[in-house]
Amino acid sequence: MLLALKGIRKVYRMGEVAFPALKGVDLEVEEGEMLAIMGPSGSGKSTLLHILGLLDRPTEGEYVLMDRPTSRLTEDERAFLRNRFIGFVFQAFFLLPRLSALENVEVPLAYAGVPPGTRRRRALELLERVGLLEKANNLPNQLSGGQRQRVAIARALALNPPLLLADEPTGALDTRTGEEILALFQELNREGTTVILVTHEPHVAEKTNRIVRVLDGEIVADERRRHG
Amino acid sequence: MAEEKRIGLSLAETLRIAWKAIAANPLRSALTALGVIIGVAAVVALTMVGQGTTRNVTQLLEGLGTNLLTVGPAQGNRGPGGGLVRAGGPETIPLSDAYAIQEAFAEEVVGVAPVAQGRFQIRSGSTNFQATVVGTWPDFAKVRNAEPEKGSFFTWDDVTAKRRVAVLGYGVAEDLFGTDDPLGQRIRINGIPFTVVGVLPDKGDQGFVSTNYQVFVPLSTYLQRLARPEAGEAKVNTIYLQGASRDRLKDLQERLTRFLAERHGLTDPNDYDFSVANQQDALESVNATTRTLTLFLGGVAAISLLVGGIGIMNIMLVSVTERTREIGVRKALGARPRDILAQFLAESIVLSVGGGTLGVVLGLGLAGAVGRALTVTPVFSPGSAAVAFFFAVLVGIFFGLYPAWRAARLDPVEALRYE
Repeated sequence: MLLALKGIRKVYRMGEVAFPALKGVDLEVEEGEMLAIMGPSGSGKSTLLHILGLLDRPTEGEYVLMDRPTSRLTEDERAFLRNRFIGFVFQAFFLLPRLSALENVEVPLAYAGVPPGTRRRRALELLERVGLLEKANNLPNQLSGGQRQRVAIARALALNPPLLLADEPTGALDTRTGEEILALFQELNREGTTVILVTHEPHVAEKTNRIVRVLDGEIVADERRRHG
Repeated sequence: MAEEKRIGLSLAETLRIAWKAIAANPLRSALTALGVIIGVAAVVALTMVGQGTTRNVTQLLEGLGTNLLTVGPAQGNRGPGGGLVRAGGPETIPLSDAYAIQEAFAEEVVGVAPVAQGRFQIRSGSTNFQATVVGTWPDFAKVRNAEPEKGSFFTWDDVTAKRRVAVLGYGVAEDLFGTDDPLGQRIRINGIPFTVVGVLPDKGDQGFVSTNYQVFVPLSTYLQRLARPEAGEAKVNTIYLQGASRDRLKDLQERLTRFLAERHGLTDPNDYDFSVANQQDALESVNATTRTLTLFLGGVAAISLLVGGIGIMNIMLVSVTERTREIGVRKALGARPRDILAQFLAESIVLSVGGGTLGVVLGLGLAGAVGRALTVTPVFSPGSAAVAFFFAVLVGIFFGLYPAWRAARLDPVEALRYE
């Protein structure tokens, strides 16, 4: 098993008001799965993704990632796990604006302590993999939305993480480009990477083999299917 | 956990990222560093000019003679030079004091040179100008470190015989005779002919203490032919004395004061119509003044550096807020809190080190310019430049720490959500 959530609760406090974002979520994900987390905005799906990505800590419950309980980890250890085991892809790409495509891909490698030469070679490999080798020295604002998302994916794959987390990865793209990006995720999944997508678009969810539906902080459905 | 082995970003890498962030906003970065630049430049320039001035004054005082004591008019009427050197003023000291000192302190005083002086017309051929004419004794050469480089000083014989001989200051000799040999030439002081017997070496243009524009004649000749003869006892302006021993100069000064008070029939020090200045005291008072001034300037510079540091902190806080998103992304990609801390700290340190370096360079230039304007040769002191530089770096670290710490502990979810 790649990961397991056990009785995860998340309560946001804003002064006197407590807002429960997650009300006891249990979820297990096997290696090699590709699943979509669906739900309307405010359902708690983003919070769930943040907890899966070790960006947020649950108020209650245990998150076990690759056999490691994560609730007692230090900030540094969580940073290490994010670096090595989790690749993030965001709706708004979140490329660092002052860095070229190549340098963006190098960022996780740099934090992993990969020496510059190796780092450069690996980043070029990844850009080639997403078909953007000739754009290596372009700044993000010189790239189209689809190209930026490809750079973001290349960056997420930098350290070959077993888990790829994507938050509305096609949300800012036109349909055709979105399809291309999804095809890339499917390809990566076939090669063995576990992919978890958060989306509210059914046609995106259809590309996966498991759909987890979230409503009001709870999992209301967990549908496994054949490859779409 | 394998985590412990992780090196993270190298120093070079961290500095490169910091430099990129700084270079992305050149005007803002320059303005931020300006506070530090000005602070460091101020410290460097002020200490350099200050030390240059001190060295000038010290050299001046030391060049005046060795173990010099000066008997002059009462305190409060001493004019510039701390009473050590006199540039004219009324003649108030009876010449007989000089003889009395010579006799009473024969063991401890190796030279006595009473001085009376005034401005007179000097002429040779068609050249003529005003210069200070000093009537004195032959000991002046020794006591005031004024041995001629050509010819010799006049002798006791000349004094006793009231001969019309003159020793010229370097500048006077040059103006009158150019490249010709002045020795044996005839000059006229106030129309009275004198024969040049010696020329003093170049003593620089240090204002009132330089002998360059002075002419020295036997005191007896001066009193008889140049000074307006007044009724009563002959009086002089100043008596210069050379003590035999440096260690006992202070003691000699005190006994000399008592001796003269007794001679003048005075008991209350407030009534003393003379004072005795000591070369050592003058040096010490210069040093004390310089120390105070340096401390004061150091304080002012420290405040300006502090203000510079606050400027850095201000901009770094703005920068952290502006780059909240970047911080979130970096954290998602595996940056540890300490990586983020290092990144922002590096930025403020690069700013302050850059500012410090530019400040030292600017300070050198400024010291040169101010030095030229004040005709002081600035003395570069690596120590104070280093102190200013490291203080600037310290300011960068201190004021960079809080913004960097704020950046490091940002919640990644909040940071990513930040618009």
